[in-house]
Amino acid sequence: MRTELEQMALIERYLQGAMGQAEQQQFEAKLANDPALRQELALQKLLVKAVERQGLKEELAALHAQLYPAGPAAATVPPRPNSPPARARWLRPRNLALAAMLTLGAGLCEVPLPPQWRTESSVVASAPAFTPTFAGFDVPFQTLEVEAGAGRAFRLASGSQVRVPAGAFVDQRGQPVAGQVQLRYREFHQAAEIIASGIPMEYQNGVFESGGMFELRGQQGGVPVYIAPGKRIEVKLASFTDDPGFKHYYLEEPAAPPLALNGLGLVPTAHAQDARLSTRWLELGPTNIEPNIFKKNRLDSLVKIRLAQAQAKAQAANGGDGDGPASALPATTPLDNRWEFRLQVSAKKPESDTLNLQAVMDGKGRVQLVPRQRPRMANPSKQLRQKTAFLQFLADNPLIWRYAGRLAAEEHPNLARNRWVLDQTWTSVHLQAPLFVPKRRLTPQGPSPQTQPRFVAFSPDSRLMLLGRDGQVELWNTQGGLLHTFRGYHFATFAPHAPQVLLANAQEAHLADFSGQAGVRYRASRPTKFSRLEFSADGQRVLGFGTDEVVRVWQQDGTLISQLKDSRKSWFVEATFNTADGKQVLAQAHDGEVLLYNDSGQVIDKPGQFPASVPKFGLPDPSLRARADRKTFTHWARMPNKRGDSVQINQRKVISALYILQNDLPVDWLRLDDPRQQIVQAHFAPDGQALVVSADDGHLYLWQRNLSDSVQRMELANDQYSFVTHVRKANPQPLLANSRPAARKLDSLLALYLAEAKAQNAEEQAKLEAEANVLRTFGVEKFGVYNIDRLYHDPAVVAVQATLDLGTPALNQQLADQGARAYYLTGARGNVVIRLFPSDLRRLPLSPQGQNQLLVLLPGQRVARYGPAEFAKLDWAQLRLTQQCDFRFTVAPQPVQSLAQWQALLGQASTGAPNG
Amino acid sequence: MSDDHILQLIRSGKRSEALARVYQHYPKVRQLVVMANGSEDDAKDVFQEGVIVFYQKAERPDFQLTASIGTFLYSVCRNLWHTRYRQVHAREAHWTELPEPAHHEAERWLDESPDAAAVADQMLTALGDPCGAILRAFYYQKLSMRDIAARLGLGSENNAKLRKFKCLERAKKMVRDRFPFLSLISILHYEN
Repeated sequence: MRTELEQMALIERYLQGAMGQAEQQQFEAKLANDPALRQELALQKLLVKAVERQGLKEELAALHAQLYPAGPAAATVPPRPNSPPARARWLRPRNLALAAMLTLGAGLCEVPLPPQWRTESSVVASAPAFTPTFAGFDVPFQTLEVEAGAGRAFRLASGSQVRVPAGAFVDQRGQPVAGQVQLRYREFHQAAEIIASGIPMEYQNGVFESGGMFELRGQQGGVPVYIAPGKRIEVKLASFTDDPGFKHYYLEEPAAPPLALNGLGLVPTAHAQDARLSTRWLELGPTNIEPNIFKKNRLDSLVKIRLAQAQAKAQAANGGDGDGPASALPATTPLDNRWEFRLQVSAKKPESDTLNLQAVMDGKGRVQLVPRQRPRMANPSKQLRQKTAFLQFLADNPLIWRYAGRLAAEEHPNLARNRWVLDQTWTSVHLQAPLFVPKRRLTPQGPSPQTQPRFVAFSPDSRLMLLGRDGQVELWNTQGGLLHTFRGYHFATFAPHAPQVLLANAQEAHLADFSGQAGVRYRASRPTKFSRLEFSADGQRVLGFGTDEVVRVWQQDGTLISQLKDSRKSWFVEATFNTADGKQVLAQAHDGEVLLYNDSGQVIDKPGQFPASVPKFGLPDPSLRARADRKTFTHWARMPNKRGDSVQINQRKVISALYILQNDLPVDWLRLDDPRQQIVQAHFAPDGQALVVSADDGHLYLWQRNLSDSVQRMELANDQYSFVTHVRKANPQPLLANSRPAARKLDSLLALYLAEAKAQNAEEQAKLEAEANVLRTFGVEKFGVYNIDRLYHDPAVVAVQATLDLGTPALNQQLADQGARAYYLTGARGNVVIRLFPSDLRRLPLSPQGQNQLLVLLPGQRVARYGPAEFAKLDWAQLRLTQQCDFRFTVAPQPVQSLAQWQALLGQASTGAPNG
Repeated sequence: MSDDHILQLIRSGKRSEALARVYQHYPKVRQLVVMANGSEDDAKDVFQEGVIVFYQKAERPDFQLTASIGTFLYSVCRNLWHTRYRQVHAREAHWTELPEPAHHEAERWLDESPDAAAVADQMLTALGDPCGAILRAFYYQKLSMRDIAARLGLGSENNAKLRKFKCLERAKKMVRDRFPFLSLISILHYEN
């Protein structure tokens, strides 16, 4: 056992890279000779990885709950082995005993107060742990509705999160609770809230400085429920301080139900203080801090949008090419409430090949996009979804939006076929910069246009293409112009150094210029059909591979140099020049043998492998490759029927996508827009800037390299369909002559949208900024009040003998006769609440640095206050000397009737707490 | 936040921050899965699985991004979902088209000895908590043995160390004992 552990420690050091070089070499040598050690190493590595995965899984689950709190959290909570009822039975007797102890404890704490300080509300009641200070208002609860069987996660306005697992509740008898459970939740962050709640903040010899406090209760239709044994409600409490030294505390409640005690140890209440409220707080343990990631991320993304706004504004200010108010903001541009802008499909026939989408502004100035064919949406929720998606899209891509929608030419030749796109409600838009973007479609000529091309070849300068099909060869330029048709030929290739093509018909091969004028002939002794012709790289030699399986090499002038024939019982299936000068020829025989011939037709080598030559998908950049994949899908799509109405089809189809691979890793893909079409062939232009794809309907699709990222592939999607097209980024030089008016409209639209987004942002930002920056996690196994605290301590206090003067003799008399509650508020954030008792006034420690105020709560909910302004006027040096101070209070004219009034009186805004 | 920055965060061990960033790609994957007949929970599971695949790859110093993290996650998740969906709906002969073709690199990565990893995951879950917590604290949270001893109440540092190794040993034994069919060769092939 011992040695096994040592071995594990060794392996661990090896895996952690903690070994020295010598030791590592030694270990590796041992490893090489010891298969058992190798296994151990692999197993250990495997387990460590698994541990990491488990950790990641947990962290991600927490993150998910934090970012998407609305989703049901239940599914991720693993079931606990112990069933609640059994555990409950086991616990009951012990809990009863605990409850008895508690009651006793509470009795001890009840120390009578001097009569002059006692008011109705200041009596320490034994049953509830605390009573609200004021009649008529308190910090309100908010109700969180949870389906008990499913659990739920909440995210609250302060940034706090409450995560309820499934099956978290039991009733008084310990039976699981089903159905809706109401959680009542409230938070306390400021002195005003703490005082109003009446929750005592004394602990042992001192006073708490709270980093946040919450109260959580559960009920079902007014009947209390309890947290099931073994379950925890996770509360990540917003904390407005990330200072160190805080711990978690639970407020012990005498009336706590037996079951609720589960899981918490009891600390004996050893320090029953003189006339103070006793310690009722149980320490739970140290706190933890985690950042409020949601706030951070959302603020970040808002900053991004603000940046986009600034950019748009700058553009509006500079823009228009001196065009004056071309891109003016809507304030100066009158708007009617309908705007049209077009997704341009074809440069040739813009009026017929146009997708019309309509932006409709509603009464609230919001912009939404609807197809022109359907001016109003039937289903408002769809409308909302569409709007949301587009707002999101705009928020992410405002610049693209500006010039949105110019589809790359020819991508959608048939509008009717794509009408279904207009009828859809798209719920998401994604953009990605592709390597290649569609340039144009070449429509087949020839007698039977549906025929697939036999071959496609680019000229060496990448500007022309040869296309063979149907017994003819067509010469195209990459602008889509058909320059010449060579009829009666089945193969052709470009001459490397001259504007000529080498053509093959059934009898021979010959050169021809681009107008079809015939040149040098390359012939065999009898008529031969050449299936493959190749120029040597220097243009001096021509190789022809005929259907007679003989390889022939000519000089450029047509003189036959050699005829290569497989001398064995095999025949050639492929041949190519091996060198640039054409003096070596490589030929592959039917049996797979590869032979290398020299200039005089002798075999000089058997390389064993034919070079992965000009494959079906050519390769200009050796690192670049293309591969077509076919997959069988049941494809759902809407297609036009004969009348042109859309019908829905559901067909099993083979569709293909072309992957572009760089160093054998897929870096991009492209697909024809009609998924029914299959990609048959693809060829890269020699300069790598173009790619021609032939489809099974005979069309050729020319794609060009997207160098500038100016064109993006846009995927529209909803829950049923997806649609892929391309959009163009903002371009200072609009490509289409008629785009300027459209651009103006889009400018105004953009400005409108930005105004809308800005308003929304400002609102959200305000909310977010009110959230706490950090969260502290509680695992709540029992309902009640939880607090993040540290003992308040200020070494720089000045102790004074204090006299409270409420301003009028009547009030002073009232104070002396009937008593009142008095508080000293201090601490860096002004939220340390120190309840004052008469004895305290003889030696009242005041903090010169704190946010100080003194409060006296008079009967009838009147409040006398000695506020921060008065404290600011105090001469602290003088106080240190005299150690005496007469505090002249100001009595608020009105009694406090609401929490808002109370907070306002204390100068504490109600932001941050979720109670607004 | 660029992808490179995220990689930096991962390599410098700023896990939470990196994960939070990576999580921004969730909506797209969610949509993918929901579009392909998945539920919210499916989407979450698939995505988190995908993130774990990505994260463990990205931790390796020789890892190079060949596509954006979003693309990578999308592809991985798409494959994961396809696999899962096919398992669940094995009898249904068709599935609806997903919007983007597979990322083949991702496919290859997923094929890396999935059995051994799955078994290890199961075993760790079965290992239960005192052990699981110790291992997680050490290997995942990278706490020192002293901290672990204090936090989990294991007494001295040496004792905690011993406990950790014993737990690891138990996990190893469980993998070996309970899964005799797990070929050790397949473990050996599990190279990270």
